[in-house]
Amino acid sequence: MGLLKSIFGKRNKPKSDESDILSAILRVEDLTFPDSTDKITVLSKSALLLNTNDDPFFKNIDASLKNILPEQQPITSEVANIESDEYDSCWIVFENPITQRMINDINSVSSHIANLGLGSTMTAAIFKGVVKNKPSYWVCNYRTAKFYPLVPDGDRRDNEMEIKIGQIFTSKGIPVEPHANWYSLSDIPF
Amino acid sequence: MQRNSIGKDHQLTIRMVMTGLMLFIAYIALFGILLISGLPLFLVLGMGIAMVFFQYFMSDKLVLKTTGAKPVTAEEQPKLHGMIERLSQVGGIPKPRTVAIMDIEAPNAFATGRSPNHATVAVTTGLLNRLNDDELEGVIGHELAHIKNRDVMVMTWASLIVVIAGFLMQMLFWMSLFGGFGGHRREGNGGQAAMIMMAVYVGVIVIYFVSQILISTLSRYRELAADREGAIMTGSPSNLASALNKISGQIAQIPEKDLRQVEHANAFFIIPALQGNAIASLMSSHPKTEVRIDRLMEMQRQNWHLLR
Repeated sequence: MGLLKSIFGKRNKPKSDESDILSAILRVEDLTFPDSTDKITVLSKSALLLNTNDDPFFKNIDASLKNILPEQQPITSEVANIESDEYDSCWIVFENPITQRMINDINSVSSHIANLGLGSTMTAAIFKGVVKNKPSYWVCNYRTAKFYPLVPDGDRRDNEMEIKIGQIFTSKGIPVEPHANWYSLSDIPF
Repeated sequence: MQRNSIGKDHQLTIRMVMTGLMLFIAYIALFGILLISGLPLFLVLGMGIAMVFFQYFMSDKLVLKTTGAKPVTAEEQPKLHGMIERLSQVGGIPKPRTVAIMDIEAPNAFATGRSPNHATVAVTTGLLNRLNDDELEGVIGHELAHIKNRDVMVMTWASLIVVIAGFLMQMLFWMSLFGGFGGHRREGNGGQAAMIMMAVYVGVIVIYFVSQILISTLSRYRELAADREGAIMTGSPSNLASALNKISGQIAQIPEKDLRQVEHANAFFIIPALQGNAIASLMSSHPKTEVRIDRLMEMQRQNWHLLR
């Protein structure tokens, strides 16, 4: 372990406890838009996005996940994973009809990965939702521990809708990223 | 406030004329000062005109070079070329000679060139990616209106006064450094000469800043006029209003980059939002976006398309 690492602990440690941060999404689980009858709905799917950094842990992630998750703390969500994408990133996809349980599972997997010293590989947790019949995603950036909405619209994004959702998030006390950090995510695999 | 005549905005025209008149007064004041001071009038005037001429004739090439805009053919960008060609016909101007694209994420566009026959229209990739066809048409209409209104010519020649005043300011500054203001004190009236030159210096500085404000004001009025003219070309003021809404303010700050790209680059940039203030808005070359959108939506509310 390097000197700096031994002094400061793991690099790029998330700013705050994710278990509290991710649970904030429950505040918009089933919400109506202030100016219409349209709803924001959180669906039963989410994912943990990791930057593999060519770490051997991600070479056979199925086996790796089984090894790190203790039997006394079972994962209740169905877990699928995409080995890697064009950005050499790994998606661990969770499916659970109960959002709170899904959040618990993401936190469980996240903390085990962090305990292995791979905390810096975790990029974001992404929840799938629906807004005005459009599939939407809420991204929780692990570097900043803040959320932002992502509403794909064909090859583009519906930025206007994203801004509206961002305002609703803020009104519900969810920490929201500055607009300049609302990065895109193409080919989300769920 | 009446702006009923659809093709024209009389209030805007009056404001432009008034600004032009004030600029004219500033010109006269500057020449008056030049004559009183005994500075070489024709040398200063000649240099200013030469610089403005250079800018006027080279503007399109200079802008393309400095912005890195690459000309594109109709085969490469058929939709963009088609849109520009059609709107040019509607506007009664020749299709701009050069259509260019800048590979920049920020959504933006510009038109340049000394006349409709030597015009260039350029757009950024960010603009093409963010706007739908109707909104893009709104922006192209606005840029073509600048060409139709010969705004490059108007603004280049209007800025001659700033060029001359700026040149004079530098000249007087160096003269003051090397004792030129004092003359020969032994001759007895060096003090008086220094006072006159100081007054000239202050006068030139005042004219420089007043002219800057007037030119920025004129530029804002030209922008509003181009919004109106462009909206008439496209037949839908709301297209440009919607585009402005997207390309300025909150939406413009949203990046197109992928989160994973940023993660790999290990760089999280936090761009602070620009804070407006009174001085900045006075010197701004463009009107506030809200003002532009309000005016366009007011046009949209009128049955203006019936009067095209």
